[in-house]
Amino acid sequence: MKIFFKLSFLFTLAFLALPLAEAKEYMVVGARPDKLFVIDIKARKVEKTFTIPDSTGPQTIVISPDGKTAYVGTNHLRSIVGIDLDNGAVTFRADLDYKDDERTWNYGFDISPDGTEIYSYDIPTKVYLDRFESLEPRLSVFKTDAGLEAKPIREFPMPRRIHLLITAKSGALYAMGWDFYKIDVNTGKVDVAYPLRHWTHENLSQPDALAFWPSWDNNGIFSTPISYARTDMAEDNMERYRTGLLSFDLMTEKFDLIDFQSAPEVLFSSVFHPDRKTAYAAYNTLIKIDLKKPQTLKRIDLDHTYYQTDISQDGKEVYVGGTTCDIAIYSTKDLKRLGEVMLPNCPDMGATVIRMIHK
Amino acid sequence: MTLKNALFMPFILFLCFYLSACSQDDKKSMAEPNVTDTEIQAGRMLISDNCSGCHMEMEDHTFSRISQIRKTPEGWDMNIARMMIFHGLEISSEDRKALVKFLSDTQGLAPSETLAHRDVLERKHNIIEQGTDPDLASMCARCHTYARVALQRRDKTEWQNLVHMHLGQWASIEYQMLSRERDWRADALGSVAEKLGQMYPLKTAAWDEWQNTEWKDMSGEWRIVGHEDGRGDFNGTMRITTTGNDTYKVEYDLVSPEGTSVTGMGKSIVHSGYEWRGASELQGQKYREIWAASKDGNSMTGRFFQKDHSERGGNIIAWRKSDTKGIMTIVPSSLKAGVETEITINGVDLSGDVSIEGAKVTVKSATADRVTLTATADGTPEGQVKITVGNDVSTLALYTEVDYLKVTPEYGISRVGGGGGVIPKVHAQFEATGYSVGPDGVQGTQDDINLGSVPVTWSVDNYNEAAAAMDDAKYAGEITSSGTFIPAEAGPNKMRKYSTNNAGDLKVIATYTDGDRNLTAEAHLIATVQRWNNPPIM
Repeated sequence: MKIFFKLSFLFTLAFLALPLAEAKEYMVVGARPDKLFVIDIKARKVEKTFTIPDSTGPQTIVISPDGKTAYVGTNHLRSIVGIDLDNGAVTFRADLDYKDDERTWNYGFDISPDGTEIYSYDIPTKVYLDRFESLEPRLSVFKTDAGLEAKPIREFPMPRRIHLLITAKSGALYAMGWDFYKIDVNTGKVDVAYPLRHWTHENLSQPDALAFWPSWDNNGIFSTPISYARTDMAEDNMERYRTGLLSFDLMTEKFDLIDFQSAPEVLFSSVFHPDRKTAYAAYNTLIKIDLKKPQTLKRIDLDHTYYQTDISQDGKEVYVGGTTCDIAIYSTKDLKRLGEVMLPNCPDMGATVIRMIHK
Repeated sequence: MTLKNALFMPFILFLCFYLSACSQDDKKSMAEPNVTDTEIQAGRMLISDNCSGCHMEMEDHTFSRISQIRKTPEGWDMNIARMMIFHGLEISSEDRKALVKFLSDTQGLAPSETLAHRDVLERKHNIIEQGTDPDLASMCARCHTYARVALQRRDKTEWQNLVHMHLGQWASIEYQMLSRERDWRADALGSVAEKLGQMYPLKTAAWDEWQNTEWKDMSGEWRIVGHEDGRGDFNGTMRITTTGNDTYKVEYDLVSPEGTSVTGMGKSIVHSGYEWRGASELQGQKYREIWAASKDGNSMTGRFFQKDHSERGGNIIAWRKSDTKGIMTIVPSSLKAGVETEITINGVDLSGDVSIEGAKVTVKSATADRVTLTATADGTPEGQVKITVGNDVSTLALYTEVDYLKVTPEYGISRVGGGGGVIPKVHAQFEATGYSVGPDGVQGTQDDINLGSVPVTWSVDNYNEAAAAMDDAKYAGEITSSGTFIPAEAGPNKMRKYSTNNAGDLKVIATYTDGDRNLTAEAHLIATVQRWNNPPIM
């Protein structure tokens, strides 16, 4: 019997590992004005370069669950364009100014776990001949098979100042803004899932985190550096100013906040190691954070500013990108430089995001 | 009708039409006493031709949005620029200028309404706006100067329209620092629009009064004195000749800070009855002038700056020679005991005996514009003493030694530029002023005496430990012997940590040497990155 269980366990492991063993890991990034790159990250090589039609600068990138399509936010936050990652064909396009006399900014979108719907957080402005009228934001739901002139099938009013949408594995939609909200994509009902502006942590000021970076592809958890002050400490005490990591588990839908250091540096983004024991955060420096202590274990200076942090599926490599035209690769163990990928013709990545896919 | 009559009739008709037009030209509008009915008709036609595609003309001849706002000439011009950039307006250069002129004359700001914000209007560098309402500073002045707000007049509804425009035009406005922690939109449309409508309403007594004040023609002979930052004082004359419709030709005849003769030509336009905007060229250098005329039209004050480097320039005072008299400047403005010093007195209609209290004076030359003399003081009294030319009186500082220095500006800004980019470097100019501690012997008290500019040597160093760690003084730029900080080139510098650009946090050090004595003073310089848009009102 023991042998049976052992064999069964090994078989299960092999079954689970099979897709992973077959799937190859790629990084997807964009660059101004209209480029989308598929990078064989372990080979340090750009494998495919696609041109996005009518694009000014890719920013948000959302990958379909089957890994076949990249939905790219571009055109000054006013379009979502679906690009086939095999051949670069445009399979979907939602130009958000679809209503007469409206100008609409998109400030985040994500896709349903079954890949059939895109949820877009839109901020519309009514444009009259001689004036503007700022309107209330809304959640627009698009069908991914709606083609090149996609229009929303549902719309719901939303709170202002949301900047990131995350679809949990269950299909529940979460949005980060003044607070972290949970949104029912069928009714538009909005609940505060985790208060930020309205948090009640004793002796902590209102936090500040402006997170645009999806770094959950290889670990199943969203995280972001978050800043706040210890109001019980003197203003001239530099320990008063704190840096934490706010995280949201896409499987359990649980939030967590750890305080790991004062505020010696600017940090734009962070990524958890798949083992959830360490995390990495970057801007001008790259730091390794012990999530259990919690504390900063190591800090290195980067060769220039990088906006987004990401990690390989095997947890061996941490990536920093955005800002200019290179992806720098470091060892998660000791933050030693392992290599880099230069994008062809050195285009400006700006604030485009990194996505990790397996196919 | 005979052939002769037939030929004569058109002449009569033309004469009638011409006289009628002249009569119209001369007729001042009831509502706008300084603007003729003809000019108002032409202005409305300009708006109708260029703007009415979007801005609806009402029965009372007002235009939606446009007629509910008052602005400075720069404010109106920025408005037109925004319509061109964001809304596809195509307008000729002539019409754009004419619109700015018409709108500034009929919907401008009174002198008292611009007074508090002239530094920004004059594009002075290193201005730190003072006294701004903290809430308005974070709501508005986190992106642009507060002056840009305070140099407009609107009622609450129009301030709300401006908020809507900001929300529709700039996607990140609710997400920026000082904005994202509040409901910016609700605050801006609510309490802020309410407050601005009360502080800066469309209709004011000041504008009504200014519209009913006779706006003076600026033609005539003028005396001009000024100070070019980092270079020194100059003086001279300018002959202003009208070229019609409040535009002028200007001939300059100046004595440079170095004492050389400088001549040049310029042209200008006067908006709103007092806002002189000039363009001139002196010794191959092109300048711009943003001056304001006094209510009586007999004096002007303001700033001139290089066309391509608005941070480089100085201040002027101009007096109309036919209607003024007196001493304008004394150069230098102080006299050291025991040192024979050449002094120039600049003014208008100067005549009579020249004397300086406590000093022996020898007049070398004297005209109605300028008296040049040598003076030697024996050291008593010290402080501000009388200097007289006939019945005209001013003051001069007598001192025995410079006790301490101040560097101005105390907080300067330069910006990297060039390096293959399109934005030029922005320099920072520093000056050192000497002071005597005054009779009480204590530095920093009210009796301290400003001795004017003193010659110093200049250097820069890292401002603090953080700057030293980044080696800012090595990379950020250099300061010249005349106190001009010239920043380094723009772009990432691979020699620096983080490949950062050539920004730096520096102290600027002035050293004054008098025999064995060395006096030093410091200022703070932020050598920072480029501004990517540089509108007339920052």
